[in-house]
Amino acid sequence: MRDKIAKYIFFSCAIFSIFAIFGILFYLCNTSIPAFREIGIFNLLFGTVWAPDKEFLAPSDKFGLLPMILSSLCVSFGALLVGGLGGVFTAVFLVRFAPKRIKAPLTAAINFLSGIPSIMFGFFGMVVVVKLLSIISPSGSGYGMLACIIILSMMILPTVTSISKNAIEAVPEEFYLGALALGATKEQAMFRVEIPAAKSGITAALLLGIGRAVGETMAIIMVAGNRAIMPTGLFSNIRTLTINMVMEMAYATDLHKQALIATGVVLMVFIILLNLLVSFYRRDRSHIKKTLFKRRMRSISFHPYDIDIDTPRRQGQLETILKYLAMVFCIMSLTSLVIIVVFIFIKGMGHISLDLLFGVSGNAGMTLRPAFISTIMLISLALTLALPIGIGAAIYLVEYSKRQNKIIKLVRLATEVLSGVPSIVFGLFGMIFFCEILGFGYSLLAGGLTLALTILPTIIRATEESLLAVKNSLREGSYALGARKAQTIFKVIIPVSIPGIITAIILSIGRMVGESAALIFTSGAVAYTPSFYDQPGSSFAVMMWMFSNEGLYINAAYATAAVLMIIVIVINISIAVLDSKLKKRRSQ
Amino acid sequence: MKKIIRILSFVVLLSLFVGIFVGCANSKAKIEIKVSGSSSVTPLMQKLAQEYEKNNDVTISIITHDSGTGIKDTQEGLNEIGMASRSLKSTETGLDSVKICDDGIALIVNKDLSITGDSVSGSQIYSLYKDGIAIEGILRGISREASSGTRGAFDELIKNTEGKALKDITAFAAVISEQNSTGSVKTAISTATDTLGYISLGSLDNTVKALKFENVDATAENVKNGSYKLARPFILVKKSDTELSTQATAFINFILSEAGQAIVAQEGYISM
Repeated sequence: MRDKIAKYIFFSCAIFSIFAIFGILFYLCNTSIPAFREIGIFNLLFGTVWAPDKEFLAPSDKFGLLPMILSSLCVSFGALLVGGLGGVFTAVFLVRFAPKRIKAPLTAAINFLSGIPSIMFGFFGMVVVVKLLSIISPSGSGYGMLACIIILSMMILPTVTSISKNAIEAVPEEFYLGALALGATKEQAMFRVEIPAAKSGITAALLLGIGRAVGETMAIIMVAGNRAIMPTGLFSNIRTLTINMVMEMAYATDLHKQALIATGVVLMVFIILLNLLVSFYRRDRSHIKKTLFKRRMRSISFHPYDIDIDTPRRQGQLETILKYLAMVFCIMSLTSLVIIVVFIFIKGMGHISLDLLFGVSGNAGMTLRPAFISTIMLISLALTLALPIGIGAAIYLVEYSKRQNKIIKLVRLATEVLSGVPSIVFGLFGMIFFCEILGFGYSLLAGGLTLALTILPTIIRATEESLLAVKNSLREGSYALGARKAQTIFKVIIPVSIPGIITAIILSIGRMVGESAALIFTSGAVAYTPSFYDQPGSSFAVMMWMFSNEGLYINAAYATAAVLMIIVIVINISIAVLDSKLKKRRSQ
Repeated sequence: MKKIIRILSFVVLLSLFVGIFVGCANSKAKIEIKVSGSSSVTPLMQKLAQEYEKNNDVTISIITHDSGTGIKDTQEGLNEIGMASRSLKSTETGLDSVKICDDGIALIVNKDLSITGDSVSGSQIYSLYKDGIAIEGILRGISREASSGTRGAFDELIKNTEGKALKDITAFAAVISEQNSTGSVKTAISTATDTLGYISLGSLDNTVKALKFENVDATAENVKNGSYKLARPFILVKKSDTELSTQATAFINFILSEAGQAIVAQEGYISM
């Protein structure tokens, strides 16, 4: 009996997650239909003029998304060229060429780069990158495509690095050793054997990198110039799909609003396609078999008869060059990290004062007190909602469902897709659904609910992974001792996978602390300390956005950035510690 | 190990409830007035609210977006009072509005940039924004987002010699970029030495330099006597079919009172 109840609870968690996931997709598509109908699909997707405020234009002429679509594509591919390639090379360096002693700290540093909130990158871009670019820009303005590409490259590099690193590490060690045994140099073994073998994993990493670049909002709105015009060059003003939504979402009504939702739908279609490709490539990875190994071995340009005893490894100069390139990229990504952190600390530390941190905040002057309280309130609400549901759904997926079940596959795909959906899309949904339709207004309640949706996929996936890592012998042992399924789950499996679940929690806290795009439109941006969930309140990242936007409080913005950076560092360190503990336990 | 797990789960549970307690402990059950809208009106509104809160037990929370958002929020009931830095359009219905003051639009450039007489004319600005024709060292311009009240007024007031206004052109020249708040315009101008921007006169400070418009200084007096032409009203709006709370009504009355208008004048806006 108890078993059944437990099963139904887990089942309903899974069902709820599916509803939430498909509900958002369906809802947004459904509300954008009038825009597609009234403006016309062709006009909407390929119109070159976006001028919603021009009343003298017909609807079919003033809602053209082509400039935004092209801008999004251009910056993402630019970022892919720089940050994507950089990420792959950094991964290569980390796996094979980095000295053992610095390998772990290097990896941690790169992971840390991915934890820096996007608002911080935007701020850094606005005050440093744009200024530097204006020196070399022929037109004298640093805003535009190149600035976006630089910022996005820095942002996608850690994502690409960590996923391609995993992919390269997943290649069986024999590939590498075999190549060495055949006389290939270390570099040849890496670039001729291991990388081709890890091709599908690396492709998936690059695709996810594009996904992150396409969905990025707050970092590039500060450096893009934001005009809705066709991009013409590296210094041309651009407005991506995400920027288009942020700039106009708050005030749009009627057809204009539907056109913006349509922008979100276009964005989502991009992301879904990318993620489908990713899951295709990920599945493909299992095909690394011995045939491939043999083929790779044969393709090494190694001629046994050419061996010169004095200079035995003259072959493979290209690979050696690639190796140094990898080193350069790794140093560059590390430098960018150091520059951002040092810059923020130098500029911000001096302005942190007790008054700024805990003073009374109000219309007389803003302090960070409301940010502390709002952030804690938002995070606890989101976790209280998403954690039980996410964990329950993950338990159902892992423990109850049959592995090859079609519905399960669908749910997995959906969580994967949803975890790639940009937060601005959640913000759009939250604003329309929670604030307007359910009538919560700008409030922490609406913000917390939106955040809960944002982190749900992260929690499901991370929990699933840690549940899958629990050895089957534990389950069997528990059953053998006469425990029922529910008992096994609660008394054996969950306790064992707790470190993984905690990692999931910290990961999602990190995501929430850095979140700004989704919150500005749901929980509002105010200077006041909220007293309950029906009131608006701004978290750290939103506060920083406010400080930098008001223009008057630029020092306070730096200080907020420094405080936020400290929080991010703490979060990252705890993830690293937990991870190493988890690994230790697995190896036991 | 079990101990660690117990401690960890305890910590997690604790953190879940902390938020709610923090919220409750912080509550003082004050009456709240929600105000949202124009980033041009916000600085003035903050000063007014600050004064009003001194003598009344209310909290006035001000959410900064832009005029279009403030008006839409009011229509949809997301706030009590909306702020806008322009008059209502004919399409914006179902609202009552009250004017609280006038404000000039300052044309700003970097402190290191100077042009002949430090003055620009309407037709010069019109050509810069429409066709990208430079005004001496000014090669580019900044516009606000489409829903900005300041932009709405600017596009209406800047005309070429034939009297055609900026709002009637389809698109700006390529040298025009867009920023979505008063603050980001100022930040952009303070880092670029060849760019023209415009902000609320009341938000003007010494980080940027204001140009003359048709040889008239951008000052509150010149707006008041009508010689500085770039001006628009600040208005507050409420829903026509709902009554304001007594506190909100009292707050608006305070703004319109002598004491309120004194603050308006003191902050560099044009009182009524």
